[in-house]
Amino acid sequence: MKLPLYDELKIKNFNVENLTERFKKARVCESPYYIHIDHIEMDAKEVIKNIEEALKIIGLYPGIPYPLAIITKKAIDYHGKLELFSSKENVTNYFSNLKPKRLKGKEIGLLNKVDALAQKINNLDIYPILESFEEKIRDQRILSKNIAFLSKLEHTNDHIKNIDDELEDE
Amino acid sequence: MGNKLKNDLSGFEEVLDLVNEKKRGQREEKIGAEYDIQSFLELEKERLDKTYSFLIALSKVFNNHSQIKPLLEKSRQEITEKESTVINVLIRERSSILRNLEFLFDSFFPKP
Repeated sequence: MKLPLYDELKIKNFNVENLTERFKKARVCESPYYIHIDHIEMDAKEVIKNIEEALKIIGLYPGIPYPLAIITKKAIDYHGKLELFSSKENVTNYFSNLKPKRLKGKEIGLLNKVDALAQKINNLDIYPILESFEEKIRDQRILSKNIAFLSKLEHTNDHIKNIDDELEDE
Repeated sequence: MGNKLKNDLSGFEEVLDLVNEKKRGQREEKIGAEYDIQSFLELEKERLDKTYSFLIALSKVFNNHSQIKPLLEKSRQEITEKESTVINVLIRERSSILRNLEFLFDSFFPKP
């Protein structure tokens, strides 16, 4: 068992099958990892798509509980769940600030608890939970738009009635 | 500070804040470094605990007590009703707005 600090995951073959195997073996998302993708000839967008697909196959959601960072110097138009960084130095400081050293008894106890919790989170079916959450956020947005529109409609209705009454009096 | 006074105060340096600030900083840093892993792991435990509770609460609330769909349906119905009210005021027979608009329109295009 190791401290949840950033570690490199070296991958040569970015096929979905190979990625699935590697992610399972390295227990990705139970500890923070970063992957360099600039050394291969495959299109970066394709690589990211394959990584997302492999994670989905094994039911892991990037970033929950630990991040999976992609390191690339290429400018990619990507707005997905993975985190992209231009270099190893730019990855989230929180998981790279400490220097690993020999752990004491109390620290080992805490690390066991942290590891068990990370496994517990990974055993949850996170995709349906978060997808339903996203759907509810979309619905909530539509609802607030509808409420705003209703209030405008109410205002317009009153305004038209007033004009109609005034013109009637004339 | 004179040497004589220094000798008189020897043993009370810490109480009188006469200890070298640099040395004190180094010692505090060393004490901090001893506990940084423990504090990191305690924070991690708390964070993961909260993440787990959040995900469990999310799934329970949304599966059992979601009110969004009926509220959305109700808001759609109200919009349709309000729209028809506005339109009814405008298009009802002998509506003064319509009559005035008709008058305005006709004034631009006089009948031959």
